[in-house]
Amino acid sequence: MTGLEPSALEEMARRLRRLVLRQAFGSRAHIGSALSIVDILACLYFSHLEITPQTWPRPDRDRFVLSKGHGALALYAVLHEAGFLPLAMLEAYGTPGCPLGGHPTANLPGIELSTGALGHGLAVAAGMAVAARMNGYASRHVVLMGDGELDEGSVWEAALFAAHQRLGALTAVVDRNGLQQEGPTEAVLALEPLADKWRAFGWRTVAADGHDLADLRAAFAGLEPDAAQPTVIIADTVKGKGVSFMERNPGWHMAALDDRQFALALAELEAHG
Amino acid sequence: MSATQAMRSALAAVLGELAISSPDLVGMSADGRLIFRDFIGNAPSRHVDVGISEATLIGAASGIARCGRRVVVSAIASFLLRRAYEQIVIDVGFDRLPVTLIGVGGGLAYGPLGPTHHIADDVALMRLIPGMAVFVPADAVAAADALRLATALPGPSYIRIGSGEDALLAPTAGSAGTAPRMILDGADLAIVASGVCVHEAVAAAAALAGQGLGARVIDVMCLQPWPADEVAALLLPGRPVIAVEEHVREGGLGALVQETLADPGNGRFARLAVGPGSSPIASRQELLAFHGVDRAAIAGAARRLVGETAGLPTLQVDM
Repeated sequence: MTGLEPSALEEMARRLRRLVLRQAFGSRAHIGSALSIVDILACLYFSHLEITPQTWPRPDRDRFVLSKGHGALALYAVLHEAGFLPLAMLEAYGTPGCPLGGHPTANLPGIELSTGALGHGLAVAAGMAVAARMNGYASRHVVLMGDGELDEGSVWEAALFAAHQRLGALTAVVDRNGLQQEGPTEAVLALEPLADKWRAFGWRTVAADGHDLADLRAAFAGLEPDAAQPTVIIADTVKGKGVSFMERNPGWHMAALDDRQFALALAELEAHG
Repeated sequence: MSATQAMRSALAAVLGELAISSPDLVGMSADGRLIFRDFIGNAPSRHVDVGISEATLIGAASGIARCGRRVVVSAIASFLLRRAYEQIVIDVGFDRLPVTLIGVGGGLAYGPLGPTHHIADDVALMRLIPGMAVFVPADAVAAADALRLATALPGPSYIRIGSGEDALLAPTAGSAGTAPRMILDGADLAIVASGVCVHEAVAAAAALAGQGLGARVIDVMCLQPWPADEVAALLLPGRPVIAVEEHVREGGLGALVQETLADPGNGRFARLAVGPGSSPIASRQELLAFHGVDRAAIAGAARRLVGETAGLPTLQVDM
């Protein structure tokens, strides 16, 4: 596919952050968790994968699973920009009757799986990659997980499976923002050395700056669907990225913006533009 | 002496046929591919074993089913359902995917292997999932019928099978297939059962016949959707009913029969079911007796309900 030019991708990421904040304003939401994955999603939907309302009905489409379902606001934002969800629906987030929940549900266009329970996406995406191989499709499959999510054992048994099945068309991305609800991941259930773990599980392991669009693009460009191993991209990210008072602040895992904070946050995004 | 067949080998044969007739079908197992022996022979590229990973089993089945295929999963019932219940509910159930779950060794079938390998609440667990069809076949022929039906359904299904050989039953009325069927006719009371308890009910009926009591034995394989009208039509108006199952009282056959009865209770309805908690280490037959769902317990309940006098000798039933 022809992806967006780098500068256009930057602008897209900024638009996505704005949409995350606008949806979140007026309710308690997983704002920090959404902001940390915006650049990854911008790259996936507008550079690496082809996921559009036109490809959606096709069984051989590229597939993306947001396994860290609490990043939903970022997914809704990118699905709007990709043409799946109308702006009015996003603007109604948090109001009665709006079908957008705090976690994505598969009844909505553009959403492959109802996530939020954590630890489900990798096995499901692996199954999709297995089916694609059976069907002779060239489709690509990407699953985005949180680092806290890697606490779930189901992730690791799926990792064993994907490597054993040599699913080169499967890519996992880890939103390595270093935080989970209780605090730093390393204080709750230490993950390091994380790259070593994935390598030991038989995965090609790539590190990337999760907020450097060029770095992310290079990481995705390096993927070979015919490879004998699945790939994991451990993306170094910042929870709450883009809003200074949210960055690295566990308090913004699930919180509400007041009027002042909302205005401040939007102003910061404009200033970075 | 009636013929016997293991449900698993009957299903293996059906899966072998389906491998050819259903090119979209994928078979999946968790470190146990015996049931897929014929399937693998016909379609080796469409079988996937995930190892001892039930969550991956269900998750990957869900992923495959989302890509235009249907999936048959087979694993030990207790681990399949409990370990991966969240995956069954969310990854398969929410979107009503065409995934058939075969639970091997459901109920108390694994007897002396101990309570970790038993699951006497599987029907209840699966019935709690909207859109999940639930089958508890009583013999290998019925199991084969259940699998053929299940793999033609648009949504998910669960089939509980035993382990080892079961006698083949011959119904006196009712169609072949998955509808409730009368195994034996009788005029004095109705015994409604599923799975292994159908065999127990048949044995109880034989003992009761010796005392001049005619028990009608009704085999209900499909527990969800519950065929209320068909079951009601097979009961004897005004006569006692026993529901007996290799399942706990809650959420299984007995609960369904109780809902169906126009006049529940009133001393004319008895529910025989597995007690709560872990079973002791014993053979399956001993466990059926322990829980009071075996032929002796059925016959005892029948005599009580029909109002046998105190003068009758205690019924001895050979096992």
